[in-house]
Amino acid sequence: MIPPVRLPVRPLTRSEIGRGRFLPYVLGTGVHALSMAAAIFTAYAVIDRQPALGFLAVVVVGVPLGWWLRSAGNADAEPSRREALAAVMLSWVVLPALGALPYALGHHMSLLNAAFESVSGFTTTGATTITDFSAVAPSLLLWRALTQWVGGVGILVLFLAVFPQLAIAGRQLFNAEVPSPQDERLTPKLRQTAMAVVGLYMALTFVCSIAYYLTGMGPFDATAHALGTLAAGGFSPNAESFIGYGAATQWVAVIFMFLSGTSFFLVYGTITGRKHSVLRDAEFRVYLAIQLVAGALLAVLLLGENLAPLDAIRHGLFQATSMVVTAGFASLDYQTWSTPAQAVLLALMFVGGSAGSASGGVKVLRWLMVAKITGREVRRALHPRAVMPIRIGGRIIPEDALRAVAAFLTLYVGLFAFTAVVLVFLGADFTAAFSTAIATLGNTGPGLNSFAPIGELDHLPVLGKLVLMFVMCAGRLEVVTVFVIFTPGWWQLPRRRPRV
Amino acid sequence: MPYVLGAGLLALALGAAVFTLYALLLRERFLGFAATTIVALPLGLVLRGRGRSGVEPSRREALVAVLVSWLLLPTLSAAPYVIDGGMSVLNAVFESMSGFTTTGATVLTDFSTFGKALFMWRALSQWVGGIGILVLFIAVFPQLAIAGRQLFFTEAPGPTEERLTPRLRHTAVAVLSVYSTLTLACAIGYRLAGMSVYDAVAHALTTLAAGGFSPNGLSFAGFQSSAMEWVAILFMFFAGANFALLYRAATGRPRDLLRDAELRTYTLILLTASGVLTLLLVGRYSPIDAIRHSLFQVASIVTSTGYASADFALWSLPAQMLLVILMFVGGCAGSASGGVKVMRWLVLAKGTTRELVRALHPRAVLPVRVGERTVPEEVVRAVAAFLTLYIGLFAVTTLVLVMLGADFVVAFTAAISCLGNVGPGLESIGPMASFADLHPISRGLLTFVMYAGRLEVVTVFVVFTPGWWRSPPKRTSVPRSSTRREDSERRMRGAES
Repeated sequence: MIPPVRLPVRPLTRSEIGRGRFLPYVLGTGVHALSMAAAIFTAYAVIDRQPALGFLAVVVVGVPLGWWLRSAGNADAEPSRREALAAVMLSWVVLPALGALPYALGHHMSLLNAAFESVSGFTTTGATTITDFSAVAPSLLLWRALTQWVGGVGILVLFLAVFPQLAIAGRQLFNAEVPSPQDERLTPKLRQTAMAVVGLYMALTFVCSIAYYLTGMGPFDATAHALGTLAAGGFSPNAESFIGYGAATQWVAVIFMFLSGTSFFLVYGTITGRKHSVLRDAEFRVYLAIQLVAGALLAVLLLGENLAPLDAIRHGLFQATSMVVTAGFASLDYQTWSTPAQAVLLALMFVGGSAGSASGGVKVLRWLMVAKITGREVRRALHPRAVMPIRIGGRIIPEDALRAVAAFLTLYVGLFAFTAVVLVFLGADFTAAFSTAIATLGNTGPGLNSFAPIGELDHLPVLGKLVLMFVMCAGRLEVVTVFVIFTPGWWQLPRRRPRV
Repeated sequence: MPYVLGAGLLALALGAAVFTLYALLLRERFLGFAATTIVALPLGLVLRGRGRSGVEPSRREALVAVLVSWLLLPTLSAAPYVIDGGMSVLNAVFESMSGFTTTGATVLTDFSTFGKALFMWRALSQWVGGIGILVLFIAVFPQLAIAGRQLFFTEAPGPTEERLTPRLRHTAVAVLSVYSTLTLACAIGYRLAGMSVYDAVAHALTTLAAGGFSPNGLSFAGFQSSAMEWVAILFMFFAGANFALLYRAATGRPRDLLRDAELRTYTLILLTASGVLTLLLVGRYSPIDAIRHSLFQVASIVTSTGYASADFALWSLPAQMLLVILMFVGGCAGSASGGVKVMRWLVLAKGTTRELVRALHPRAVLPVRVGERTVPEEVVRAVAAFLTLYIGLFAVTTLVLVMLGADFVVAFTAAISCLGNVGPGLESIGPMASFADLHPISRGLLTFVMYAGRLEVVTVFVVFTPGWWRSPPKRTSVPRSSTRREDSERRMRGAES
């Protein structure tokens, strides 16, 4: 006979107390923040005699909803993995839905277009269905920029505090301050770092808007562009993006776009003196090198388009940076560029900024890892039994992170191909389909051909817009997060001990 | 290594000699064939004299043998194209590489400049390339554990452990006999469907190799015969299936066909894609014709053959898109078809799904299974790396072609078509057109890409690792714990030869 197993008696853990209360807390906080912003916008619109109904609606819906959610939640609750993932996904559905109200109410936008615009904002993509910018009230254009900025905050918190702990898509190693993966909750130190990084984000945005103002933008444009720049978003209140501004403004944009794609950890560390040399950071070096090489290549290609050398360098760097960090601003209408120059832009859309920034795309660090994994397998063809750990910046990367990154890339490329196929079936030509697919998946914004920076996405069929909205969200949430809900295990009821 | 190369060269010399006679008989130009014979014969004799057959090569040596064979043989066989066909050297090497890699991309614009003998030579180069790749896949790569190849044959021994076992040799013979038998059957099929003997043989050689060269400038569209197209569909299907599996099925285990996970997926892909394509083509053709063209084109692209029953570069964009996507699929492992291969896609899909499940259950232990077999972790890893390299090479090629003046669609399809050893692309390099108008550097690059794609990419990129160029350490053979018995066996074999 087997004696019955006696379980040790232990006190309830915090996770058991707070089960199921993390999600409403997070959602409620987000909704509250958004409705507060909407309240300010309501006041602004009323004073400036612009349509205020939509903003008011956000307040009216958001305040009670947020209050109710927060009262159901608990700030100290520790979520299960499933709950944390659900909270992330729901946030990127609920907030865009709420944020779409100002577009739909009082601005003659169809519900679908409003939702598209809002999702494009919160995912910091910058693809737009607006064709006539003069018909849109300034307050709404500012709201549009703000959604990107808020999306940037959201993604920073996600990347800094949530994903590393969940070890999603190799995220666990993106930041050295994160404790060992999977085990710990948001430590006070991590929370402190997250706060500091978000503070840095705000400060940079402020500095950026001042710099824009000093180089000749009006205060409204400076604010709107700064919000879109630091979030690597790319919404501009003008139809022509940066094309109409002077060289100085464009140089400012180059600098701040570059910063927006740099790891905020690195910037924070440099400012506080904890990191001695940014150039010693492996990811930063590659990030910088890609931009310089791509910028130079574009400059050379642009010389063939009858640009003066200095202008070619400026536009080359501007466009390279804009594509790499997935901002999507334009300093020239690249629609009219030669095919080789366009091909470079398209290739750059796959790169993405650094991990630990609000930029989209695959991210430089992941490419570094993928390159090293692949190199290792090639060397294995010669030495099949060699043990070759992979190091980045002196640290050995755990094997499960490498596997996760490989799977991430597969899903990413797979979703890209799928989107391109769908777009072709909906009537786009090859170039438009491929460029739009990567531009939305990488959260860059505009694609090439008929969906260029100036001609817009408005004429896409309903299905196409829905697919692109999904793709933007999937790209923003690291693909893996979204596809988890398609695994059978997701829908099984959680067992008694849901934490693995 | 010299032994393998020498044997290959002697075979080439023999083939060229036969073709010299054949061309003489047809009263066509024969100097090129003669030149190939004259160069290959002494070279082959010298190399063969220096090598020994019983020697077990080191990994490095085996890889070099593979890499050099696929360079030397195509280059030497390019002579007839230059001397008898009036091609430039670059074009001739492109054409010859396209043949030996069973690609089927052509730079030939005027089909009247080639004689019958030359077209047959072109077809034969694909068939020989097919044999080469089958031997490689069955006997060489699984042992070297290249790009996850160790997984693809149940017959293959554990990776890196053993040499060509009698059992493996048996498999190689079986597979090659399936290949030859099917070629013969295919030729008969074409003849019965109404082709001339010459056309039937030329097409059968390139059908089973999943090559796609046709002596007819319009490929199968030039025959306008639905019977021939149905025969081609059937044999292209076989050409993309695992020959080892077909052999087992033919020798009394037909049920294996149904149980094989790869073959099932392969068939499913063919049928689904044909179904979608049929719907897209119904407006253009009558329903029956739409079904036939769909099946034909899907089989032709998936197996990386590259025949055309119609000029698909004129079809609607969605139909073209479908074909482009199919170029990435490839046939089954254990066939002469190119591309990524269905088996690798299966491993990749399962590996990726596993990571998704792991996002929810990070500590779960989840082995990857294909069919009933558990896939070793190193294979999953190797397949992922293979695909990265594959897509990377594809992207770089596309970019370079665009830089050299090709438009997006041409560059994109040329890159995947050559990398996957398919053959034709879209627009100006469509099935009825040729690669001749591309920039010379582009043609050179595509020649390399065909070569790399055929040799599983990884093999070629090993050369670029720093370790490759270091002088080999003292123990050059595969690091392994050789037992005393193996040592004595080897000594005995050495004595025999």
